[in-house]
Order: sequence, then C-alpha cells, then structure tokens
Amino acid sequence: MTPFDYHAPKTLRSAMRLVQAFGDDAKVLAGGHSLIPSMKLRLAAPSVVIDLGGIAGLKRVTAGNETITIGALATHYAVESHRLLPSKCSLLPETAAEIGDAQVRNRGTVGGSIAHADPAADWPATMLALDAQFDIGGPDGERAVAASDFFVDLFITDLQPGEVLTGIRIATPPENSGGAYVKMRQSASGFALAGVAAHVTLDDAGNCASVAVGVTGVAPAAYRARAVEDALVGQGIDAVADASAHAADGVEEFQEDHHASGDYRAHLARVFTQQALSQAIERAA
Amino acid sequence: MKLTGKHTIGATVERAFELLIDPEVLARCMPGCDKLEHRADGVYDMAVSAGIGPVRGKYTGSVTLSDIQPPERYTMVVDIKGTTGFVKGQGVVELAPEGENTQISFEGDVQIGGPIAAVGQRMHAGAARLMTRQLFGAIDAEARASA
Amino acid sequence: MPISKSVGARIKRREDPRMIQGLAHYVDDIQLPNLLHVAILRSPYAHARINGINTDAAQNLSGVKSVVTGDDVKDVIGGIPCAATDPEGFPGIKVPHHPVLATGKVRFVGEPIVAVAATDAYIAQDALDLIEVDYEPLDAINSADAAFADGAPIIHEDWDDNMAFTWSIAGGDVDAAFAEADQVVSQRIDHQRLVPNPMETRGVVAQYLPGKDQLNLWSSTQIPHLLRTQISVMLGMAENHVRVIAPEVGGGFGCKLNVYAEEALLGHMAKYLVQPVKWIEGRRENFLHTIHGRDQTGDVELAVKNDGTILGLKYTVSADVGAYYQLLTPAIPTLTGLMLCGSYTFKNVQMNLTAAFTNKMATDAYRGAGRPEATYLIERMIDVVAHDLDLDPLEVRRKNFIGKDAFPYETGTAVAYDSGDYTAALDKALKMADYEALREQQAKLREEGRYLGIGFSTYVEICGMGPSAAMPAGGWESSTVRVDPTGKVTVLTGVSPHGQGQETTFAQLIADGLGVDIDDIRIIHGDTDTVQYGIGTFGSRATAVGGTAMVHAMGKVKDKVINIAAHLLESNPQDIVVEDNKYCVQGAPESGLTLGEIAMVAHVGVQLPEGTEPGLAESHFFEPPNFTYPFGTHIAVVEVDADTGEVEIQRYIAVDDCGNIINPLIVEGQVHGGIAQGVGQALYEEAIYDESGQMITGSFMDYALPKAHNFPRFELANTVTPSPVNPMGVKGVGEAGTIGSTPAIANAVIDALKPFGVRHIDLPLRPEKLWKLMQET
Ligand SMILES: Cc1cc2nc3c(=O)[nH]c(=O)nc-3n(C[C@H](O)[C@H](O)[C@H](O)COP(=O)(O)OP(=O)(O)OC[C@H]3O[C@@H](n4cnc5c(N)ncnc54)[C@H](O)[C@@H]3O)c2cc1C
Repeated sequence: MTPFDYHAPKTLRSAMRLVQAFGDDAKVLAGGHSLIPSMKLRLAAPSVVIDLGGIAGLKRVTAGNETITIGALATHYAVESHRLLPSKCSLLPETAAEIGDAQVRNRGTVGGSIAHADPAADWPATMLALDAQFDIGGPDGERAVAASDFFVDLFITDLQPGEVLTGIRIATPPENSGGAYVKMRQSASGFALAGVAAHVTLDDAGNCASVAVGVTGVAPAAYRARAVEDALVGQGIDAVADASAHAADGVEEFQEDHHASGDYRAHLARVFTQQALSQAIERAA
Repeated sequence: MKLTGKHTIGATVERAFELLIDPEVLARCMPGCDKLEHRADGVYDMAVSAGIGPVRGKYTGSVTLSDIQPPERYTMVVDIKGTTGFVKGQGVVELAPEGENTQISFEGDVQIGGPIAAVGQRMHAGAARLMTRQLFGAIDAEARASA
Repeated sequence: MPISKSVGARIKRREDPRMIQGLAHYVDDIQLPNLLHVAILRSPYAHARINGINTDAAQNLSGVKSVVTGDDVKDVIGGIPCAATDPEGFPGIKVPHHPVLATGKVRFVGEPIVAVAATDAYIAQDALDLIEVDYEPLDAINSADAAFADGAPIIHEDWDDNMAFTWSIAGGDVDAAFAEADQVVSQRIDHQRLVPNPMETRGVVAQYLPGKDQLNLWSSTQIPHLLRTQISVMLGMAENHVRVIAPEVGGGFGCKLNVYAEEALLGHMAKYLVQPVKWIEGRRENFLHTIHGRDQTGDVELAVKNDGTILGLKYTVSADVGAYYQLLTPAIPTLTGLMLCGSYTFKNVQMNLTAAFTNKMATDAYRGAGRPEATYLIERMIDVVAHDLDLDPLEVRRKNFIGKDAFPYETGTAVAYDSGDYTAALDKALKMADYEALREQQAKLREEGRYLGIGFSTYVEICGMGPSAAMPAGGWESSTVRVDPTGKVTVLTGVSPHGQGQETTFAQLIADGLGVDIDDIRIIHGDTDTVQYGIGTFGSRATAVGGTAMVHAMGKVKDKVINIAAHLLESNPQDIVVEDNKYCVQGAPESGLTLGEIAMVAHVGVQLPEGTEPGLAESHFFEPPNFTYPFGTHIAVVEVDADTGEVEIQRYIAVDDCGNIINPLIVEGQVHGGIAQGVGQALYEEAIYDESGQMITGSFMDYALPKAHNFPRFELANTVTPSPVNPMGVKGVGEAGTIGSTPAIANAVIDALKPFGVRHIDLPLRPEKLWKLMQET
C-alpha cells in the first residue's frame, strides 16, 4: 500500500495550516465515502490525508429566520433529520433523503459531496436551486462563492489548491416559497441518472417572483437551467410545461454511458423540471 | 470509445499548427505532463500524472505524431500505461481557418483497459473530452499570450 | 409426509444468530501462524500475447516471499478441469488446456498471470505493481457473433476457428409439427450475461503439514469433496492426503460449484513454500474471474394452431461461453434443452446449440443454471403467441397445460416430470391477484395514459440433481447419523449448505424422526476429513437428495434404537412407539426410555440384544431415481411510467409448489431471494464487455443489483403436490424463484406496453429502452 501520513486536526486553523503545508500531496478527508473507495481501489494515492472529522464546529446545521447554515462536515443525515428544516426549507431534507442509503447518509457529508463535484451527485442541484453561498478558507483568508459559480466541470470546482470548503449558507426562503427535488436513480449506484431541484417564490398573484432550477447528472457539472427560469419568472403554473422544455438548453456535452444516453438524460431533465416546478409551486401556494 | 471534438485556437492556422506539434508546448499544455522527450522520428516518451476527480495515476508511454501535413492535419497516437490501467488513443487532428482564428477538429478512438476500465466507465467519455479541452484550451492560451 | 412437531413448522434458522452476531467463521477469518498473503496479477487485456514477464523488482521487494509465473507451475499443476467434455454428448467439442496461470497468451481480462506471496496483503499487492509484462495486444472477441465472423482472431490457436462445441436435442417430429401449423411464431431472444455476486467473494487458505504430507485447503466452495478429488489430481497428491474444508460460505448461487485456478495455485504454493497462504478475492476480481451466467442468444420458432395450440418448437441458439471452460460450462445449456417444453403438452421439439469461445470469463452454473433460459424463452413465447393470435396469454397457457392426471409425464425431451398440478397453482394465484379486477383497472388506467401490465409465468423446473446417470459428476448423496452416548445427535451430510438453511431443516427432520430436542442436534458438513464423500449443494438438491440420504440413515438408526428399546422394555419392536420424545411400549408411556438412555446402553454395550453391534451410527448413500420438478405460477403487476419508462413493481404474487414443505419460513426466504435475483435479470443486471473486451460493468457502481426498495411486499402461497421421487415428497426450492420471476416481470412490462404495439423486448428492461419504444409509436 502506498503509505500516507494521517493528520486529524482538532481545529479549522490547524487544518488550514496542514492543508497549506502539504499542498497538492494532501487530500482532506470528510465522510470518506468517495475518497476511501478510490484509495482502496488504488485509483488514488495521496501521500497525506487530513481528516476534518474531528473539527466539531464544522458539523453544525442551523436554521434561523434569515439564514440556514450547514457546516461542511454535516452529514446528509444531519440535514435529513434536522428538526426545523422541514418547515424552513423542505427541499434540503428532501434532497438528503434521496442520497444513497441510511449508512451512506450517516457517513457522507454535504461539504464532501459539494467539494467532490461528482457529475451525478444530488446536492449540487439543490445548492444551485437555493442559490447557496459556499464559504471557503484558503491561504489568503476566507472567501465566499455562489453555487452557480462553483461547479465548473467534471469533478472540477472553483476550489483552488490549498482551499477548504468550510460551510454552506442559504438565505432562509420567505413565506410562499416552495421547493422540490425529483430524481431517477441510476440503477446500480443510486446516484442521479438525472436530478432536478426547483425552488420558487410566488408573488401575491400566485406567479413566480423568483425561480431557480438546478440540474444534475446530465452534464459534466451540475448547472442552473437559466432558460427555464427566464421563461417562468412572472408566470404561473400554466407556464411550467413550456418552460421546462428548456431544461437542457445550452448543454454542450451530455453524460453518457450504458445506463442512459445523452438524449434520454436531456429528456429526463425536462420531465423532472416540470415535475419539480409543479410540486414547488404547489408547495409554495 | 469514439472521441470527437472541436476547439478554437486564437492564432492563424500556420501558428496554431506550429504550437500543436511543438513538443515543448505540448509538454506545458498537456494536463499533468511530467516529461515529454523526443525518442525517434515523431515518437516522444511521455510521463503524465493524470486523473479526474477521485482517480489519479501516473502513466508512462509514448506520444507519436505522424502523417504530418502542415498546416492542415496530423495524426496523434497516445499509448500510456500505469498501475491503474492503460489508455491507447489515436486520432486525426485537422485545422481550418475560422476568421482570424483556427478551428481544430479531431476524430479518434480511445481504448481504456485495466482497473480504470472496470470501475470508471461512466467517466471515460467525460474525462477524455475534459482532457482534450484542457489541452487545446492551454494551447489556445499560449497562442493568445504570444500573439 | 406427516406434519409433526418440527417438520412443517416456521422455525427460525438456527444458523442465523452466529451470522448476525459476527461469530461465523468464513475463509478470511482463518488465521494461521506465519500466514502469507497472496495477490494475483491479472491481465488488463482481453487478448494479447505475452512476450515476456519481468518479476525481478517484485521479487526484491521487502516482504515478498515468492513470485510464481505460469512457466513456474505449468509442469506441476494440471489444467483446470471441466467435467462435461464427452464428445458423444458434444460433437466436435474442443477442450483447450486451461492453465492456472497464463503462459504465452492471455485470453480474457482478469486471467491470472503471476501470483505473489508476501508477509502481508498490502505488500503482495504492491509487488504486483512492480511486475512488468510485455503484452502484444491482439484483437478481441466480445460476442458469439464476433467469434464466428469471417477473419475473426483465433482464441485457441490449436484449432482454426472459435467454435467450442455443439449440442442438440430433438424429440417427436418437428418437421411434421411445422408442416401442420397454421402459423409459425418466431422471435430472437437474448439471455444476457450475468454476474452471480455472492455476498462473500471467493477465498482460499492453504496449509501444508510436511510431517504428514497433508494439504489442508479451506475454500469458499459449494463442493468440498469434488474439489478435493480435483485438487489432488491437479497437484498430483494422494486424495487421502488432501483435506478440503468449506467453512461458513457466504452464498454461492452456483459460482462456487467449481474448481478455480486459485484453489490449486494456493495448494501448490503452501506445499512448495511449506508455509500457509491466504488469498481473498476482491470484488473487482470477482466480477472478472468468477464464473458468469447465461449469455445465450437464439431464434425460437413455435408451430401453432390458430386456437393457440402449440405443436412444436425449434430453438437455434449460440452461446458465448468465454475463453475457457470451467467445471460445468458445456453442461449448462443442456439443461435448457431438457426443459424447453415447459408445462406444456407439445412434444415436437428441437434445439441446436453452437457455443463460441470469446475473450470473456467462462459461463457456468448461475442460480437456475440453464433452466431460467428455458423458462424465460417458453414463457415469453407463450405471450408472443398470444400477442400474434390476439388471445389472452392465460388462455394459451391453459390450452397447452399438461393435465394433472398425466403424471408421471414424459416430455418431448425425454425427461419424466414427477408430479404436478399446474392449473391448481395458476387458479390459486389468479384468485390472490383478483385477476379480473386487475384487467379492469388496467383498462381504466390506459384511458388515463397510464400503463399497467400484468405478467404471468407458469413455470416448471428440473431440480433435485441427480440421478447420477444424468449428471457429469455424480448425482447421489450421503449422510451419517450418529447418536452420542448422552443422546446428542450428530449428522454428517455430504451436501454443503451455504445459505439454504439445512442446519435447521435437517435438524427438524431428525427431531421428529428420532424423538429428540432440536437443540440436541448438530449438522456437520463441508469438511472432507470429517464427512464421508458427498457431492455438494447445487441444483436445489440438498434436501431432496441429501435430506433423503439422511432420512434413510436416520431410519437405520431408529430401527436399532427401537430394537434396543424393545429388548430393554421386554417387548417387541413393532410395539414400540415414540411419544413425547420417549420410546415406549404402546399404551404404557410411563415406562418410556429417552434416546439418551438407549444410546448409553448402545455405547456401554452390555445390555444389548444378542447379535446387535454396539454403538449407534449409521450411514446411507442415496441414489435418486429421478429429478424433481417443482412448478408454480408467478404474477407480476407493474406500472411503466409514461414519461420516463421507469418500471415500478406494484404487486408480486407467487404460488410455488415444491412438494412437501419442511419449514415454510425457509421456503419463503428462498423464494424471496430467488424472485429478487430473477427480477434483477429482468430489469437491472447485465455484464457488459466493450469491443476491446474490457468489462465495463466491473463494480457495483455500474453493475446493478436489485435493492430492497425495488420491491413491493411479496404475496406468497403454495400448493403442495408431493414428489414420488423421495420418501419425504419434497422437491427443492432454491432456484424456483429465480426461474419463475424473470419471465413474469418481462411479460408484465411488455403487457404494459401493448398499446404501443410492443411484442418483445430483450432484457434488462432499462427505462430508456422502454421510453424509446413508447416514443416510436
Ligand atoms: C454506496 C454509496 C452510495 C452513494 N449514493 C449517493 C447518491 O445517491 N447521491 C449522492 O449525491 N452521493 C452518493 N454517494 C456519495 C456520498 O454522498 C459521499 O458522501 C460524497 O460523495 C462525498 O462526501 P464525503 O463526505 O464522503 O467526502 P470524502 O470522500 O471524504 O471526500 C470526497 C472528496 O472531496 C474532498 N473534500 C471533502 N471535504 C472537503 C472540504 N470540506 N473541502 C475541500 N475538499 C473536501 C476530499 O478531499 C475528496 O477529494 C454515495 C456513496 C456511496 C459510498
């Protein structure tokens, strides 16, 4: 086995120091549900592993009136089971519940999933739909980046070498908002063959004051379906079907394998966009 | 697996061609390239540390440029292997003027074998396209920087 | 069979507590002093010449004890055996030498090339990375069609084509049947390649004791005795100096009914190094180098009358058997041939099989082994006939069913179905399903643009494998029943349970038969030094054949017990009865003796009737007169999502008839797992090799096993038609669920898509496939 050094810092500051000291040779370890399998298969062999699991402060989930915060090390289950989230932002626990199985959800972390940026992971879609802000610590201090600027390409994010994702902030949705996540599981892995998260806020007339749609599983990176959003803003549920037809507009390269062709994934994106938007609007009303 | 694609390089066809077959440029632009040394006529020994997401590996082997017809086309064969498997790709790269710029299109075939073939199949096409995007993107950046 | 105290009761499996608590001992739990760990370098190429192997660096790695190549062992380890190569049965069969480590050439991805033994498993693995193999890649073949194509590369260069063998079976007068037919209904049907995927992968530990010249070999196998015979031959050792132990085995599904390279290799290494060695198969290795199932594609033609009467069947099929044979490779499709007539009366049948070598892992027995192919194709074709003739698929089934008075019934393929009542099972299932209401619901939903489908499978299968005359390596079974002086009972059985629950069901039979508490009974299996020779567990045979051997051995013990009891009670044997676990004179229960009291007398040896041998142990070797033929009706109700093509199983009704039932809980468990695996084939599973022969479904990220959330609650019931083949009247239920369920699901999905004019779809029924078909019309 390629030997590696293992560090388990207790504070974010010492973690950051380690990350900077070891640079490219290091991998941070969160829930380990993506990193450890690759290491076991000898497909990845970092020489230093920095385990963030001991940093208690990174595991918290809070749901305030203004802001929802999810520490990068919060598990999927912590979000799924949070007492206040079902009323404050049901899209979050709904997405969490769609991930893997109970064992995976108790181990895997929200931050790990976002940082890993698997093209078929569930969280990216929902983070896009909720316009989440990602807090990132790095050599030059802290910065925040919007989800829509974060997912760049296949397993590539805006995270730079030496940076660590520390948390996620989401503006607590106002009254008359609603969200929904609709996904088809890839039959082997359970990841999204296609997954669509939609979030809307309605105006007094019941039309969409704001709409955001995140799509995962379809392209090399999760994306926001801007064309759908543009077509639906100011419109009501009657416009959902037409707007959803644009869910795969602008995608230049589709994910394709024996489970599903690009065409089919594009089709699913449209169907699920329609379903997610309809549900979101219903829930908002 | 078939691999096709198009990229734009911000340079004339002649200049783009020069960059594309210049081993020093290739060494700089090829993602993860640790070494590229001329061995024989058009054959270069190569070492790369390449990977996508969770999969990282060191590979050694060769790149062969042949059938070189400046400034229109050439054939490129990549044959590398490492402990995570092997990659063998061959393709024809064609250049055509596109206004001030050059459009590159390529068409090839990639074979992937060993452990990465068995466990990473959903990522193969994406990874191959990503790497070619990175390669041509970097060459484009060189071209624009030196323009 | 009389239902008494234990037999017929829903008793929880006695083997489960140790497994659930992590107290069971699998191969990987075996620790021995100085144990070395073996890792195996496997070919990354499907087809390549090996021009050289350099192991110097690996050899020099600290901790590496031994590096073994094909050249090192080619003269000391014999080829991997195949038991089904008789040219009389398989005209023109080519039997390639199958080395434990490749020399000269590799023929599939995963083929073993070099073995390394090191002081720990990580070092062994590291050493593999240091081995340089000079490969010269060759074009690869990934299907039977490609194997037979003009100019195809030759896989075994001893011959000039890739034809492995042919096999055929014929009964009745097929030509006459087709001449008489109103119509010929034909369809090309594919049986995709599947990976058995037991929860525990394979594993071997080998230890050599030089003082005794004894090899101890622990292997996760279904056939410890057959393995011992083969290993002794491969290694040139005396069979009685080889001991094979199958410890706890975490599932097999047929893939451990085999003899593998690693078993011989580890045996050799342990002996040569005089140090114990362990190899535990990784999941990736399991995907690549443990046998696969199915992989036949063929054209079926049915000669039919316009009223749905089937007159005859022709099946022309090619099988992709992989690069080499494993133990039973050629025999598997022959089971397909035997069962082609299904539960139907037509006797004019013909199957012509051509098998091809390809650059893939060998196919062999996978749960059902040949019979799922037969059942799927006939049950699928019944629905195609119904489709073409515009008849109800049920009507076609009923019209062609073998009547219940026809048994024993000889089929066109010359097998004799033991007993059956197909209509009874069907009627029971229909009642459970409320069939009429389902059809009404289907019609209503269709108007709403929703697609419900109802699918049937009225299967019959062949199991209880023997008799020996019909088997490649023996079809009998053995047992010894021993009563200890204190009255505890030890059963030695030649079968090798690995999830089927015989430690429970066999104990139930003994408890009732000998009048002893179930907790006082131990069932021992899987150790060739402890247990008399036996054949093993496969083909749903363990209870029907192994259980019968035990019941006979128990009968002999019981006769002796009764004789001693009669002597002690000063009575006649025929007056002795067992009441409340006491042997007593009829009508005088207060004077009864327990089994323990009698056993003590048998062992002390002084109060025995004259001429009675001391001790209390008897053996029996049972040769079954016939196979058994379980049957049943499975009904699947599915909905196909019109927008996405996704299939939801809404209801699953199964009425299985496996003869008498010893433990309903265990029967249900076998049916549950069986259905899940059959549904896996219908909806999810497929082992795919790409054009270059790489297996691209080599992990659970890409090979889709069914999961609990894919299923509704199963609605199960039984009919009971005892088998006349054994005194217990049991048939076997290990594979019935798998055999019955695949066509039920396929028929249901295709029924759902009837409004789109769909007649047949090959498996697995992935959502995209279905969605596309719905788009086309
Ligand atoms: C059986 C199984 C089923 C699954 N099913 C699903 C599913 O249905 N849907 C789904 O979306 N996911 C699924 N997953 C993935 C799961 O959600 C993982 O939790 C996720 O991929 C990674 O999170 P992790 O905490 O395990 O990260 P790790 O494996 O620890 O890390 C993953 C990568 O991210 C980096 N990283 C982790 N945390 C940070 C950080 N804070 N800052 C910077 N970099 C970081 C690591 O260095 C590593 O490169 C499944 C996983 C398994 C094993």
